[in-house]
Amino acid sequence: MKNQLYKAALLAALGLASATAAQAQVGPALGAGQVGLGFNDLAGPGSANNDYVINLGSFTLFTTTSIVNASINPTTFNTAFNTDPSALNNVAVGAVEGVGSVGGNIMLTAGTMPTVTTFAPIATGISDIAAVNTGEYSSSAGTPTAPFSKQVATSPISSVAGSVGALVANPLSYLSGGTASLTLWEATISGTSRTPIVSSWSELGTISVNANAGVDTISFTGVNATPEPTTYSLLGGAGLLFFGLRRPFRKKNA
Amino acid sequence: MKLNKFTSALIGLGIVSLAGAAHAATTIYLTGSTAARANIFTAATTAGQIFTGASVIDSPAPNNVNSANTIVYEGNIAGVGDVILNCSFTGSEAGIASVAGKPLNQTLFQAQDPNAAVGGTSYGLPGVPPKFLTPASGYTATALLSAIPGAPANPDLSMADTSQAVSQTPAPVLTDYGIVGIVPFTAMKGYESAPDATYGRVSNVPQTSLAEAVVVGEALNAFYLTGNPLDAADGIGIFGRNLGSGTKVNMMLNAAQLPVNQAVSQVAFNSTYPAATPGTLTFNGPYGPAGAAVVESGVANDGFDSGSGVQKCLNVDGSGKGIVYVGYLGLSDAKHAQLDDNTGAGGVGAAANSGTATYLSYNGVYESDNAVETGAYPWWGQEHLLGTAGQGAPATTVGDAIVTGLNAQLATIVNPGGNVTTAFQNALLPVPSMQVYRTQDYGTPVQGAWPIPYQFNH
Repeated sequence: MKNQLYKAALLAALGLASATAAQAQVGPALGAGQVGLGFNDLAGPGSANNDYVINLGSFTLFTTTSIVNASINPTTFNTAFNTDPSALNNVAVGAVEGVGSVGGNIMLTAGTMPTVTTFAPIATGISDIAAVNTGEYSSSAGTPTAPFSKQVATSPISSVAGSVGALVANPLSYLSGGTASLTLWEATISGTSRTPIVSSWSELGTISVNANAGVDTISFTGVNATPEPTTYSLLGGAGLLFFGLRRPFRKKNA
Repeated sequence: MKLNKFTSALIGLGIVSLAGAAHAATTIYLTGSTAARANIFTAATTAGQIFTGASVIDSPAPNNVNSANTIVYEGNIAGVGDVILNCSFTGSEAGIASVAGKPLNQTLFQAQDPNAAVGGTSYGLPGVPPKFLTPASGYTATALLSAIPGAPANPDLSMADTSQAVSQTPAPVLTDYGIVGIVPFTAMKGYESAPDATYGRVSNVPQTSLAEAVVVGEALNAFYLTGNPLDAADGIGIFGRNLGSGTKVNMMLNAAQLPVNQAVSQVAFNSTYPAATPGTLTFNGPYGPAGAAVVESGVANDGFDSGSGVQKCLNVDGSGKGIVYVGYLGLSDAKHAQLDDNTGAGGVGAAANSGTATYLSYNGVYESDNAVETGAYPWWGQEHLLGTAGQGAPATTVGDAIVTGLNAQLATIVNPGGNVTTAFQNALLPVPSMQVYRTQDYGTPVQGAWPIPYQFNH
């Protein structure tokens, strides 16, 4: 489990202590057009059966040529899953987005390209996604909360009937050593209200998640994105910083 | 401060100072749901209900009838004295947000609103904050509270068809006066001058089919409503409300039984988003004739900010489109839809080419006082009165008086018998008449008298 004291000290030194001050709580519904990245932990003890959902921003940010960077709030992640000693392997993660009706679209992560192009399940999946509450809460929370687990999927191998995972594709993957690499797919809706047409799915790019202590990053890279030279430098620097911090962090955890 | 014509004239001439006169009365601003609007009208104009004696309506026509969304009452309330109750009914969610002093936005996309950005544009909902009739205009023009001298930053009180807990604005926690009545809703199908056979067979809305229809939209076949394989050719179009509507919240929670924020696929007839009112779906007409003059727009998760928009779409001639149009409304708007009242003061009078909407049953039961009270018809919500957070006198005294007044008014209503297809039913029912109750603002009612307390004096 993550070492909060070490991280707090580090953040304080960087003047970022307030960034972790946010209290874990139910946030607003994701809404249409917002990409939501959800964590849940059905594999852990009951006390860790929680959802943590992050709004990554508008779907327009996620294209085949774009790069999007975001972060995991370590305090919220720990609040949700710190009672699971194997959280960095038991927690599942996936991303979803949807805009309903003609002119809309659906995005989700999946290991292989989704195959569903029938409108009714796609429309229901999009509707499910819009209701998902952001923030941190119990996976089994009831009305007025609409948990990611109920609306999208409970784990990489299970979904509630009528949810995105059951109707379209299960977007979740387990973290492995705190990381996951998720392929993001998109389908669009054209045609008419009476006869809508769902396109075939296409790959947009990869969402890389690193929930390890002191990293807590989420990054999307479009399949055709070309990192700028400065980005390479930053990535290299971040890598050095990561390995520099990793040693003392592991000692603290030992 | 009673503003008759003579007083208004003196104000206009600058002979009488409103600032000076304002000390004579306490003004309380009431907003929120339109569902209890007519009941508040009766309770405010009947001596001994909200006001201790006779009262007057300060706002002139057309804002002096029980269907007016903006209206100003004046009378005495014990413990306060002369009270001006300035009302602007804009919808439940809009009311809760306004009293809480919070914004309430919704995102529209270009597929619905051509003025929106590609990635969607977030618009403030109409009525957040609400505009009230101003004393300076003799209660003939409206303005935001910020433009009314001496007015509070936020409205004092709001009616709401749902509790704050299931609303879009759960915080800050508002002052809760409790449940003042039960507010039923119904589904109707839109007018068709030349209906096909499928239209004739649509008479009922099952819960599961409603849930699918509001989510999937017109791609869903009318077969789901009728169970008849011959009805697979026609689709189902839904006319409905927007994020600020308690009617929509109740449709989602208690009729479709879906999470309140699940996205829906609604449509509208002859409606646009005027540049002058950004993000506001507006019905422009005409009501027909059927065919090219009737243009349908997909509005996805948006809808009308007032039940009258749904009512007007239901009165449009939707013949020949291969779609059976279904709308959901409160009983007052449903009554106008059935009577084809869509022009003139108070919505009375039928526009050219318009026609009557038809009531639909829900799970095989038509709405009626009896069916609601016995639990046979569960599509109803609890009407709440809410005040600003940490509210104190005199607003609390007026809030208590509204609760008392509505209780007195509802105790006098008469059960008309039958159902909505045979007699107009009551749009607000007294809690003591209920033989079933809910412990929260959603879910299946359970048998028994409503647990007390359900109202709270302050």
